Amino acid sequence: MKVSAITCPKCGAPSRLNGPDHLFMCERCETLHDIEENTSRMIEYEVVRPDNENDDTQYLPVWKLKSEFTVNSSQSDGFWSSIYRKDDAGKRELNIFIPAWDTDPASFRSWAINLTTNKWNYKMGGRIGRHKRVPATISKKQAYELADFVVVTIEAEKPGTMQYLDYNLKILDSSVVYIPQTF
Amino acid sequence: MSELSVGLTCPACGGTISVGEGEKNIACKYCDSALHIDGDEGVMIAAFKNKITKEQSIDTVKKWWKKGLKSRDLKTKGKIVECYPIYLPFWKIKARTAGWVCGYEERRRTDSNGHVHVERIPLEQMVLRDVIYSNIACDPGDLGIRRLHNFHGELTLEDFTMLPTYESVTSKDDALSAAKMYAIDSGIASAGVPNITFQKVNAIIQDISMIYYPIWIVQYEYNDRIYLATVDGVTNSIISGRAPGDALFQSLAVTGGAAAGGLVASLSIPLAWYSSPEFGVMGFIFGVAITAIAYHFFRNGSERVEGDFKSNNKKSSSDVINDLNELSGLMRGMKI
Repeated sequence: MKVSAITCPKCGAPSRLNGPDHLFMCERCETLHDIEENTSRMIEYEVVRPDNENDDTQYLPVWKLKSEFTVNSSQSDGFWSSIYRKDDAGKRELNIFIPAWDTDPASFRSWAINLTTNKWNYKMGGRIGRHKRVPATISKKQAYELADFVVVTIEAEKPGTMQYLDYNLKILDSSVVYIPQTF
Repeated sequence: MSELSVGLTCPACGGTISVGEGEKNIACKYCDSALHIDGDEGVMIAAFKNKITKEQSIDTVKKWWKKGLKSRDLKTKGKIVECYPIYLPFWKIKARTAGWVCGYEERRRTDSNGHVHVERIPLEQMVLRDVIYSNIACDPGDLGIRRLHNFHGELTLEDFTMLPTYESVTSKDDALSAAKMYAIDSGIASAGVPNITFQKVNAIIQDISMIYYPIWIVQYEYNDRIYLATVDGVTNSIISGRAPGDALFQSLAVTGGAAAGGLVASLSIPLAWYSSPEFGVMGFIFGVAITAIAYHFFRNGSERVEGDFKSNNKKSSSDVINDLNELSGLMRGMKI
């Protein structure tokens, strides 16, 4: 086994552990990074501006996967099928959101669907500052693998309608969005 | 979680670090630096501490002799020949299965005119669950052990190097592939959709580690034959074993089973003739089945078997014992 110190890929400052977090935030330059194949890699991130912020505000990490999504054929009447019938534009760019914190399956499903189908509209430009970042227990690689699940979950949300869905999903890029939650 | 000191030091301050099983990122307890632990090819290796003594493992086997349909005089005639611990490597892989299985089930109903109607009920089942896959990573012959049943134990390094240890012979890629297949297949099965029209189920590997697990090999003799049992070195329970069956139980089974089966089958013939042909045929089949089960017990009851033994294993019990003796002989100086 090998041990290496985790440092910021931008400024080289040593990183601090945030529980089981896969993501590290540099205390000096506020660069977000993770470890992939034993190398620190920078990750783009945005912070949602909170409506009300107090000492108990925490920031939830969500993977935002910029994707190219195409429905080839379907025997379904779910979300994607209805959109693609109205506007048969072939390839469509889609941001898939994967909740990265440790949450139960029902909550994971609810957050992923609502964020991906744009039911919530957030204003960016916030800053985490002294507030707590909730640890991200889902890595980037795992988020990529969960993207299929979210896409199909959105289609199958309407009960008793989906029997078949043929689609292509290609993930182009990834970043992290931190969403404030005040308890 | 218990932690393992592995002789590793913090690259920032030089302090000794402790790593829990499955941990990849830790904080140095001296300087608070975040440290990344890289296992061999990304695999964390851990060993569970042996918690039982030779006497305890022999005692467990002797208690096991008294249970089930084993030979009644085994507890008086059985003689322990050898007893020693070994370490066996197991893959332990945590995976999250996520996906959807869609399809339908068919429900049949008969209307008042006797017509059968088939109704298709669409089914959409979400699969989202965490599974732990384990599989033995070496080939010790047919010990009756193929996977771990216990995933908790005190981690150690000291014990690990003192006991005979089998080396891993299966690759990480093969283990990952088998774990993914297991997670996906069990996920699809858990959905319970009888007729599948669409399935998209992924297995996301969360963690892979290799656990060296202490197991006591207990060889014993009964009527000039050598038998073998294995005892869990952490929980002190029987994992697998072979034991002589009892001739009396075999005789009773074949006599009683043949009599009961014959009676049921013969009574079903007049039932089929005079009353209900359907019940008669079912009764006849049931009677034959009872006889067949009784014969199966008679045929195979000379040896009682517990554990994950392979039915078509090429190595015989004596081959396995020879292999184990060879391994323990090589490590004899280290035996406890």
